[in-house]
Amino acid sequence: MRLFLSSISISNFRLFERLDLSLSPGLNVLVGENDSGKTALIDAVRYVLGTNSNDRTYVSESDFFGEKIDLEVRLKFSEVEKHAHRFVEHLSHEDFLDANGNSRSRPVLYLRLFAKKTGTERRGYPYIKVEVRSGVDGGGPLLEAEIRDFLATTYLKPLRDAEAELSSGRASRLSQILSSSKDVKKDALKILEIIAQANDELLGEDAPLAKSVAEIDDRYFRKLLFENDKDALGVFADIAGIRGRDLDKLTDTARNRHLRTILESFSLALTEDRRMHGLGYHNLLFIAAELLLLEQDPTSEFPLLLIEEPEAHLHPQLQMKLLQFIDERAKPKGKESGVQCILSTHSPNIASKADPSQIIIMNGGKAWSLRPDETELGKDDYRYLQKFLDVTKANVFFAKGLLFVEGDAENILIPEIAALLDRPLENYGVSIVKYDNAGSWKRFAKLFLRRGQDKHPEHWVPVKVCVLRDLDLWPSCAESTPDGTNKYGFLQRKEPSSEGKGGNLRYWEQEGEDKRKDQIRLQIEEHKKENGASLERQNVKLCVSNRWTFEFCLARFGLFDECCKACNVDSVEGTDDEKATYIQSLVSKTDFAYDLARILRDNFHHRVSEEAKRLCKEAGEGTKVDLEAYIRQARMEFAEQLPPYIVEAIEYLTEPLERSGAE
Amino acid sequence: MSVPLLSRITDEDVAALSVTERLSLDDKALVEILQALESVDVQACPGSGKTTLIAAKLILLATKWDSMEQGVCVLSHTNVAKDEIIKCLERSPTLAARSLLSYPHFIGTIQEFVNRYIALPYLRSRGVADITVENDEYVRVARKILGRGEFGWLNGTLNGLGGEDNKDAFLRATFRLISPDGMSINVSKRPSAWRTEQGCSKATRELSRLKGYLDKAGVFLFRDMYTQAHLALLACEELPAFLRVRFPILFLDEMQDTQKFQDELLQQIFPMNSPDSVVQRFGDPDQAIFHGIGGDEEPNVSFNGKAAADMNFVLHKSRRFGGEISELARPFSFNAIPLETALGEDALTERKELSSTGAAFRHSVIIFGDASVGDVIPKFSEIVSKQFSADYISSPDFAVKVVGAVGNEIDPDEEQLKIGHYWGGYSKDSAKKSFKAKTLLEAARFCRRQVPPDWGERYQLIIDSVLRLMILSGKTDDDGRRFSARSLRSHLEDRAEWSDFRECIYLMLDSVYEIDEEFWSGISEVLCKILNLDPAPQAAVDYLAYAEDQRVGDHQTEETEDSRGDLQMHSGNILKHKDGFSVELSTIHGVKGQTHDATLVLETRSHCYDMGVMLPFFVGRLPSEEHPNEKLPEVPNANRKFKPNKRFMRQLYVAMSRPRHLLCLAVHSDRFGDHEQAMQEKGWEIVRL
Repeated sequence: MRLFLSSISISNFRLFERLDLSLSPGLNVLVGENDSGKTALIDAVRYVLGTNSNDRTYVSESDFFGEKIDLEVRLKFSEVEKHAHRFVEHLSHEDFLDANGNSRSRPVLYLRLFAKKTGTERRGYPYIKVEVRSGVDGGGPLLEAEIRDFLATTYLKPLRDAEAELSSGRASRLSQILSSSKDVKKDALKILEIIAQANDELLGEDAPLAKSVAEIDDRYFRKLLFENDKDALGVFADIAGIRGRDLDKLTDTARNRHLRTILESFSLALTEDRRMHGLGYHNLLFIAAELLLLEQDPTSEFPLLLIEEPEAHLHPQLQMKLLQFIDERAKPKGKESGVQCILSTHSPNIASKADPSQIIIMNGGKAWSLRPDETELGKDDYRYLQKFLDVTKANVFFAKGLLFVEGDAENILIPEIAALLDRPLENYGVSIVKYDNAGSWKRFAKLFLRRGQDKHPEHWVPVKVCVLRDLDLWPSCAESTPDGTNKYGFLQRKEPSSEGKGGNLRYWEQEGEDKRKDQIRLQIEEHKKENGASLERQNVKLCVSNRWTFEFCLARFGLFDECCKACNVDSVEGTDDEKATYIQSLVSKTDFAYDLARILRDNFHHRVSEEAKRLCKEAGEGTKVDLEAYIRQARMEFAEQLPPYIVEAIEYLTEPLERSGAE
Repeated sequence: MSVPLLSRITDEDVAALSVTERLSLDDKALVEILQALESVDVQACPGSGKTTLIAAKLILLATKWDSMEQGVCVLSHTNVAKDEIIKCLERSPTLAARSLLSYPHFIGTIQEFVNRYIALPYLRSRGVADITVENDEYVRVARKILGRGEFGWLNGTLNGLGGEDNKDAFLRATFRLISPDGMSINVSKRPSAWRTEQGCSKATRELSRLKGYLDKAGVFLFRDMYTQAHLALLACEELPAFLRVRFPILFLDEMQDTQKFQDELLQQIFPMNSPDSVVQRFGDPDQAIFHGIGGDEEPNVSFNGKAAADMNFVLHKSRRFGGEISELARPFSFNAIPLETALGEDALTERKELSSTGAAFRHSVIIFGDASVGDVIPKFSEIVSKQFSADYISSPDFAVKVVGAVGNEIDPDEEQLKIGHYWGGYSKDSAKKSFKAKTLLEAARFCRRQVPPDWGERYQLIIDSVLRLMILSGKTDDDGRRFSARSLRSHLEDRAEWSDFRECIYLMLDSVYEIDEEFWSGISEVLCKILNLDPAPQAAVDYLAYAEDQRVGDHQTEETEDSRGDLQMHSGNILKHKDGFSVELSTIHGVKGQTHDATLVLETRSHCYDMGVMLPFFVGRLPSEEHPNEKLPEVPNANRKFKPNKRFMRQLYVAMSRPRHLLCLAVHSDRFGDHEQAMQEKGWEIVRL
């Protein structure tokens, strides 16, 4: 294993009052909404370790949380063995139990950046004392610049001006990348020789350039000079200051300087004719060049890569390709571990490409890593999620609230219903995700359940998760009986075989009101469980339909007429259960949900506009009428027509509904 | 593990270095040592230029060093030796030499190495945040804790040791040890109350409770760090490998002073005969003299136990003295190296010009009787005054010392002969080196009393006291290390406080203002401000406190009283001769590593009289076939019939190899007996009092 940054603890830095986060040796993907702390986390690492590009960063006053006067960032590195010699004086020893259960100690490296506002000023700026020391509590020696250089990160800025970074100029990024190339270094002399030869030819006697330069010198420059400067000064022109006659005499430093000058005059372009390309490809080209730097720098045996929002200017397919490329490098190859990478993103495309265990959800200055030991997910759960968490589901990592639903009908109807209740889901950052098979809701629930943290609300993921499930108990009137007593029955009751196996008796509601209620109550409890344990814990809530299915409930609890309309059928006579069963037998048509949604919306609007008309008539033309109260009343009435579990789910994910006080 | 060099060290490299560093490399062994890249042991005789050689080798390595992550490790026993090497590197015209002073290299004492790389990281990992490693501070804190009611019993038993000094000495030795049955605490001396089984087990329990408090407070003895290091190595078995990779080559200077426990720890990390590490050890087993007090001082065996033939190199040529002294001292080389002078004819001739007569110096044995013991040192100063040219005597660095093995009382029941018998005013404690002011005020007064004023020394002493003040105040430099004179200066310069600080120091040292309570409160207030001590911990406040001068009135008389012949006593065991030179009194131990112009070696008694017992060596009767050096008993023993011993031999070797020019001995006539002729034959001049 190779040295890697295994955890970060932060206090009082920007929006982090206190943050403790474990990291994986490979890829770590920070996801979360704006202002959730992604950039702050990456900056915290940069402040301690520095970067190997030219972007120096200093702690400033605005880096302190609130009014705090000191801040600290503590990094822990694990698997340090291969490099421990570099920082023996900085090592900490960490106790662990070996395979035989004996207590042993292994080396780790803690670095602690501590910054304090001194209250004094230096050169007109508030002076902030900053130091980086080693040791669990930062009680060790100051970190030497050499060790910091070794640990320096490679940092790719967000929304960078890729084109500018790739163009020529002093200390250009490209020149840094090229000059660190082993091949360029090896052939430095050859490169210098070529340029020197070019110089000699371009500026040899009678060369047009030489003539022009001589003219500048003789005709103008000399005439402007003081007499006593004439011996010392003269005009020379060449490329990078190299001439053939000097080459042998150059010291190593001078040779490197010349080489740098040459490399600084290079620029990188996408096609030879330098026609303008979109920002996206430049960005990709830039990242490609950076990755080269990362992999060829011989001193960079600890290549921690920090990438902020690589999706900028890249279309979705390129985003995914890029992530795949980075992930490839972050994966261990045989015995060699890959590059450790911390990447922040807003892109569901990138998030969906990552393994869920690589994801770290950031939210309001806190972080929740989805590493295997931190969630309640099992190994195969990760495998499943990795496969099925596609782009459409990847917004689970960005939402404030999540509603997991079983079918399309819920997916289509619930946003509509919520809007009519004045609880539009988008206003609350709630996303609806459809789960594909009966068991997969558990995996999504466990994604948000923190292992062993039931009693510690402060460690719960602050995302409200609600899972809708169907009760799946069939009312007896749904049985299709040979004698036709059940007009709308369409299901067969099946007795178990003689060995007591098979059959579907357990799906049928029991006779007798009390018995049935108990049965439903037990079934609801059962539906919340996995292996006998309820998953309705922490911020995960399960809402099980009050009766058979979502659609059955809609028809059963007050929207029967609307359902009939949506199914294009006339109303029928019968008990409430029979009527709802009738609807249930019809809804397999997919258009039902869309039609019902439209009908609910139209009815509501119709009702409101009718009332508006009536009020206007009453008040006389041109008067402004106050519809508010009526609308509120209409919403309340609508809520009463809905199955209770739906209302409960919407209230949980948004906020409680208004109730009519008197009732 | 190979040493990461760009290329091997060639003869040309060595030749070029000898020019830039102005080395004379006449000895082939020197060139070979400079080129050696494998483990070697080097016995280096007195004056062989060992430090210069090590520094030269380091400079060679620095110019060829080819690693950013691995370094050279240079360890010495004392800070003095470390500073000498650092000075050489700083002064070198070779720029690369300076690179050795920082990461990834390390130059320091063994203690510093053990602290920095092993013990402190380990302690920090165990949650001890604020760590102090210092014996005086340890004793202070321990006494404070002992003062609590809960330790009444333990404190009472310790009072039974007889006196505060003994109690301090006891506490100073209460370091943790790893013993076969777990951890224990060292007990140097058992108070009588501990002798019963019950008392002993209670005492052990109480002592371990006391130590527990000290651990928690993060206060440790120097020696504790070796135990902590040992624990660290037990807990983390890869640690030695990390250190070997970090330091592919280790230099050990002053190896003869390395104690056994230090050697054992170092060998655990850098084994001598391993392909994994290169260890180059420099020292002189012949000069291995230890304090001999505090039972813990046990010399290393791996180096000191080596015969000359087992050394990879023996540097037996000295640039310090000419042929006569080398011949006089040679019989005392325990390893029997052929000690000789490295000085050529020209140099020797030049040296003769320093003598008043232009002839060779006459090394003398002063024979005294019971009544004339007090005249020995005046006689010696007379010899010095006569033999050296007036010009040379008045040069500022003219160094004359009188040394004896025994400075303190050995055992009150025994017959005594110690330095104090030769000069009544001698006090081991007021020796400059061992002077330790209990307060800053005491230091300032001590400095002011010093006659003649030696500003350099005064300054050094007062700075040391200020550094002590910083320790007591819990102040550290930006590295979290204790301030050194250098780091304190740059710290103050950074904050533009340096000139104020200097002014303050000057006022303390110069006698323009008399030290009274008002003056002192002004000084301490300014110091607190400059050094940012407020609020100062109690220990620091105490250190800054004012007290009336106890010595007022008596120091006047002291100066006139303690005079004899042309000599007059001044503070710090320095005698002033009327011709202007000083004669310093010291133990042999105190002059280890020094070079003098003239040295008088006094006979002293520790169980038996050293000169008397060792006379057979002077006259060439020992060593003999019957009594080869290696069969000598280790230590003196009055009851043994055959009294010569290794300890006397090494002490005399160290003492006799100090002077460049003039060596004198003092022997009682009873012990000298009839050796006059034999001694004369060896080249000694006999002077009878």
